[in-house]
Formats: sequence, structure tokens, C-alpha cells
Amino acid sequence: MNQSTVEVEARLIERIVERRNTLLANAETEAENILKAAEEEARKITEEGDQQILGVIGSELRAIRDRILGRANVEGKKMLVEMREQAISRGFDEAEKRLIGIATGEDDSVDYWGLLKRLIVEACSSIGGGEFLVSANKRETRRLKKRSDEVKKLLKKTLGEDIDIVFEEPIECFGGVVVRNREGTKIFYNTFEGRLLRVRRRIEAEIAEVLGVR
Amino acid sequence: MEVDRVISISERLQDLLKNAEKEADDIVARAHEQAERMVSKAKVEAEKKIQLARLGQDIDEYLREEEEKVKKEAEKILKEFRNRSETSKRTAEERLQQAVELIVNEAVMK
Repeated sequence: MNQSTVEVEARLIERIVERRNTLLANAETEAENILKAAEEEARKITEEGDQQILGVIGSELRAIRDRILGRANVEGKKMLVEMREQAISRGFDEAEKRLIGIATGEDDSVDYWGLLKRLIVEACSSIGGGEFLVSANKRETRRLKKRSDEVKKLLKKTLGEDIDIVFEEPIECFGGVVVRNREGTKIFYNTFEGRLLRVRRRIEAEIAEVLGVR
Repeated sequence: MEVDRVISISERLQDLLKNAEKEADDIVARAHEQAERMVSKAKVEAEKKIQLARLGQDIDEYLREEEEKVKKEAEKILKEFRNRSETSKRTAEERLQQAVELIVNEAVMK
């Protein structure tokens, strides 16, 4: 066998083996593609089936959604309401401290004696009549008793008639007065505590607005 | 003599190619069969699940999945509320004195 024949044979074998390998490799690739396409189709079928199931059990799913999201919304709103209440209460707590300072004279930004007289006048005007029982804390009761003429004069000037006023036993409050008519049928709580409560009832929304917690 | 030898090799190689072609066809055919089985199985399973769902059976997994999904949405909602609350709290703290002034003025009839 000469050299050239051996070379021809070798080339032939090489070509055919290469062709065989290509054939098999192409077949493997085609098979892979077929399986991939089938997997994709199966996935789509499962997905469409799931969608149909979701349609079938829609009402159960909506119930779950409504329950969980509803609870989250209620909880969230409650959180905001509590925060609002806390912020407003903090405002009133601080205001109460300021009022205590005003009542004790530590804070002289307000003429407390003048204010006390105005509180009595406001209460008496509101109740009406000519005889009043006035209660204040120990410190103010002393001061009011000492300067009762001044108070009566102011009342007469404001209400336009002679006023009989009696200062009762001291009560527990940090400022202001409680005024009643003689019969005790009408009572006006013009203490600082009472005023703060009324202020809160009247302008809570405004305070919330100022605090930015509407 | 040499020519005969080459022809013989050539014939054997042709056989090898034919076998390879057959093997390749088999590979593709097996893939088709497997693919058909996969699709058919998916169809049967999907249909079975739909039928069961219509009867209200075997839906726990769907309900659980939905619950998990909605819980995540709920967490987002709560997070938004928490953020709003924190922002408002900071604003309220900044404006506290302004509010105190308003309350005190109302209380002392200024």
C-alpha cells in the first residue's frame, strides 16, 4: 500500500466521522429544542390552568384579600389616629404647664389677677342673677377674699347691678374659679382645667391643623 | 488490490453514516415522544386541578399563595402608614410651641 492510498483513506475516514458527529450533534440539538418547546408549552398549560382555577375560586381569593388588606388599613388608620391624639394631648399637657406657671406667677406674660377677675365676670354673666358662690384654690381664695370689693365693683360695672358674692372653701385646681348661683342650680367651671377641656372640645381640629396631624 | 480495499472501506463508512442517520432520527423521535408525554401530562393535570377547584377541593395551595401575596401588600400599606405617622410626628414636634401658644391664648382669653 503506497503512501497516497493511506492518505486518501485517512481523509475519507476523517470526513465520514466528522459527518457522523455533526449528524448526531444536530439531532441532539433538535431534541433539546423539541423538549424546551414542550416544557414551555406545558408551563403555559399549567399557567392557563392556574388562571382558570383562580377564576373559579375568585370569591375565596377576594375574601382573603379584603380580610388582610382591610385589617392593614384599619390598623394603619388607628396608628394615625393614636399619633394624632398623642400629639394633641402633648400640646395640651404643655399648655397646662404654661397655665400652672401663669397661675403661680412664675410666668408673668399674663396678668393673672386681671385674668381671674375676667373669669369670675364671664362665669357670673353666663349664670345670671345677683348672688354667686365662688370657689378657687387656697392661694386665690385668700387673694379674692382680701380683694373682694374690687371684684364686686367690677361685677357691678359689668353686669350693671349690685352683686352678692361669697367665697367658698378652697377647691383643688391649679387656677381659675368655679362659680355657682345661690341655689346651686347653675354652675360654671371656669377653672383652668375646665377651660382647657372646653378649648379642646372647641378647637381640637384647629390645633390638629397647626400641628399638621389632621 | 488497493482499489478494492478503498471501496471496502468506503462501503463500511457509508454504513456508519447510515447508522448515524438512523440514530439521529431515533434521538429526534424520542424527543418528540417525550415532549408529547410532557404536554399531555400537563393538560391532564391542569384539567384535573380545574375540576377539583370547581368542587372546592385542592385549593389550599392557591389560597395560601394568595394569602402570602396579599400579606406582602399589607406590609407595604402598613409601612406607608408608619412613614406617614413618623412624618406627622416630626411635624407636630416642630410646631408644638405654636399649638401651645394657641391653646394658652384661648384658655386665658387673650
